Amino acid sequence: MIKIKGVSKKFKDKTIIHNLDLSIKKGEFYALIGPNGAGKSTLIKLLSGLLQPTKGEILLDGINIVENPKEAKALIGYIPDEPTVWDGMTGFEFMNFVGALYNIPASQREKDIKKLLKIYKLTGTEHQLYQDYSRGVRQKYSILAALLHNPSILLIDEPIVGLDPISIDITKNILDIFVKDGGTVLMVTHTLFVAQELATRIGIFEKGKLKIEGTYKELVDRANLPTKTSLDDVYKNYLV
Amino acid sequence: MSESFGLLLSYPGQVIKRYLAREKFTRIFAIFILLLIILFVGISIYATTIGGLNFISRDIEIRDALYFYIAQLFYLLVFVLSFGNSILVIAASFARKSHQWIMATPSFSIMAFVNLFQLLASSLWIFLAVIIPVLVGIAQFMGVDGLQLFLSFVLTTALIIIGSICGVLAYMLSVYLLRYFSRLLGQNIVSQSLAIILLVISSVLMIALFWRIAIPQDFVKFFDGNYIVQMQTMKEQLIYLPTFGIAQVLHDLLFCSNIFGTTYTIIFTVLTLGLFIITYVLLDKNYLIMWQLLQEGNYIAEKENSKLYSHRSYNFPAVNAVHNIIDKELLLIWRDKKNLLWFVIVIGLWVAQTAVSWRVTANANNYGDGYVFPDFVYALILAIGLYFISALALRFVFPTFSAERKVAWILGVAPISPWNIAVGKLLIYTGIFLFLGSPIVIANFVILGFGFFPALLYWIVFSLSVILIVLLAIYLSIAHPNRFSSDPETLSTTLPGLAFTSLALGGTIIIANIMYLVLSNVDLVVLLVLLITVLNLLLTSLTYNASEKFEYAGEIIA
Repeated sequence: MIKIKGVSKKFKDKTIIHNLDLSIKKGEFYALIGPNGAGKSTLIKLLSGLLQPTKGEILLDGINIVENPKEAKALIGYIPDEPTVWDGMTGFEFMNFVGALYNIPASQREKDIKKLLKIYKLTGTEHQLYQDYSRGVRQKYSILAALLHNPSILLIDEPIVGLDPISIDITKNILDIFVKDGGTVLMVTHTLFVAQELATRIGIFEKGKLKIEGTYKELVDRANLPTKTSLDDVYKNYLV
Repeated sequence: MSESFGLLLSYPGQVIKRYLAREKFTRIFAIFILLLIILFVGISIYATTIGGLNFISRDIEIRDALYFYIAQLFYLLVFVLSFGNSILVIAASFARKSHQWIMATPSFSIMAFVNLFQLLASSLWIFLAVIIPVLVGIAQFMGVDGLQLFLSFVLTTALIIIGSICGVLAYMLSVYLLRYFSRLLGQNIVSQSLAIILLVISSVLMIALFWRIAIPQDFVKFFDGNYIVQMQTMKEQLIYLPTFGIAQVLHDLLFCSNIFGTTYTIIFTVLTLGLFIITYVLLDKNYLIMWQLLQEGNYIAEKENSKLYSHRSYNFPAVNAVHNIIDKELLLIWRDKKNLLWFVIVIGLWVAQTAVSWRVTANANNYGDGYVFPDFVYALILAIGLYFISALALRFVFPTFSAERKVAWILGVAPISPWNIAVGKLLIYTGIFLFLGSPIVIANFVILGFGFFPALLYWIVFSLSVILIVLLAIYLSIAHPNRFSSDPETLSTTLPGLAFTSLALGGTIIIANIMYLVLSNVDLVVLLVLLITVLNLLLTSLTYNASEKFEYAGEIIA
């Protein structure tokens, strides 16, 4: 469960997030959409503990990420928008290192990594350096690394950039199973068809504020649009 | 073509403009500090030159031969610096993926000129900071006129260009040699790292060869007999130096006011221009081919399922967070050939200094048992050691948090505190520096005939100072992370980078001076040890506080 209470984030004089309140229940898939520069990525970084809020409180399964960062971070799996990793590491080393940071015993890690690699058919690439991977392969490794320690919350910033159509389907399947198993997902994206297909609730974010939120159907209804309108058109209706 | 050329040439100007567009006051202050440091270094070198020449001139028997020897060593150093810098710059230019868009246009050949321009510009800083003060110092001491001083500037610029050109040609040769071997082996082995390794091996072999030919000569014999005999002995040995001829012209210009100096300066300048044009034409003709050969390593399609590019992956067996950070740092240093080259260069220079100490001591002992060096030599050994450690810390430790900004998400989201990361980095870099530095420092003590107890005290001061330098670098890195650059060279010129340089160099001078003053009094050395320990504790506490406030991402993401 994710609970955001009155959170603001300022960089010097510029306020990026304005007094935000948001609650995402266990087993819920929440998609946050909005224009570039709206503060979506900043919000994800606040939730993942990469940034500290200027004001307010963030609770992950009831644990305050500012007060108890180690306990809170152990619950999170984070998939960044830029899957940059040290060029000199192999994919296997990266996943092993991440597993070690989450205190997974070495023998367990190796088994889990081998199992995860099969999901995207990455077996055979794991001992090559990161600098030799394509954008898509890097993205796949960062998705798998986020799942390695069995998190209860997934924070995702643009999950399918650079992925081929088959890999997109696999990713959607992974996220679907994760939510069905009781996991909580907050996803920030510009790929609206994924949000439309997977999200149980969608929030439209603009200038650091939540402009409107609801299920896909509620958003369509509130805008008085035809039932089969795509999320693209709903988005444009609210923001243009 | 000419428009894109103009655009590329205006790029450095735009970079400066953009640099000053934000935080103008802080950045102007940073530039001011940088100029002050250059001025300080320049004045120090000028004063040392005058002082050194004054000291030498007192011994009329060896004075003139020593001037020749100094001219030879000075030009050798300038050549080596220009040569090394040129290789690093040209190698980096082929590694830069941001140039892909230029290489895809019909104007790709401008990159040859741009690179030559860049590497000459980056070599010329040596001119500003080191060469001008030395030449002005010599000219003033010897009382030569303005024209000869000007000609010595011209000659030295020519030498820098020759050094840089030799670097480019050596790099090209190394790439083409690898291409030749690739054809023989039937598989592509051309890569940046192999090209550089080939150059390092060739350089080491050349130095070894030179060492075999020239160094066995007794240094003291250089200054035996009258001036004519001395010069004869030196010329016989030093003629193997690549800079022998041009250094002789400098000697003629500044020390002998010789007319031949003027004539040969003109000849060397014309030759340099010719060589520059030939190199430009060669690079221009081969740039695209070299680019393609070196880029093959970047094409990933065939690599993803190729066993050829597989590595032996490390398992990260530890569960302890700090231990994992240490393992990760070691792995990445080992995998980055440019990092290894840096270590090889700095440690190589340090070993060379030790070898010279050994040679000089052996020579001195031949002319009387138990030669005792003045106290300042012992303090100087400490200062040199800490200077090398500062150079390594500036390159590796100070940029450590900023350089990881793009990968910060990995550590940032994991249940590991920034303090644990800082401790991991402190342990690994202190460990590496002590592991590499201690044997060299101890070798210096043995060479200079230190007793066990003073050597132990010296080593303790050295080790604590290494911790101090590493802690200072980590503190500045975590307290003032840079969100805009991951490049160690750029980071070292930011305000925190300059603060590190000033504090590390200033601290080194102060510690070495105190050591010199207290050398004969053990109680005072213990006091110095206590002082450095207190400073270490203070910096540890400051680093802890900074780590509590550290954010893995910054304003740039908004």
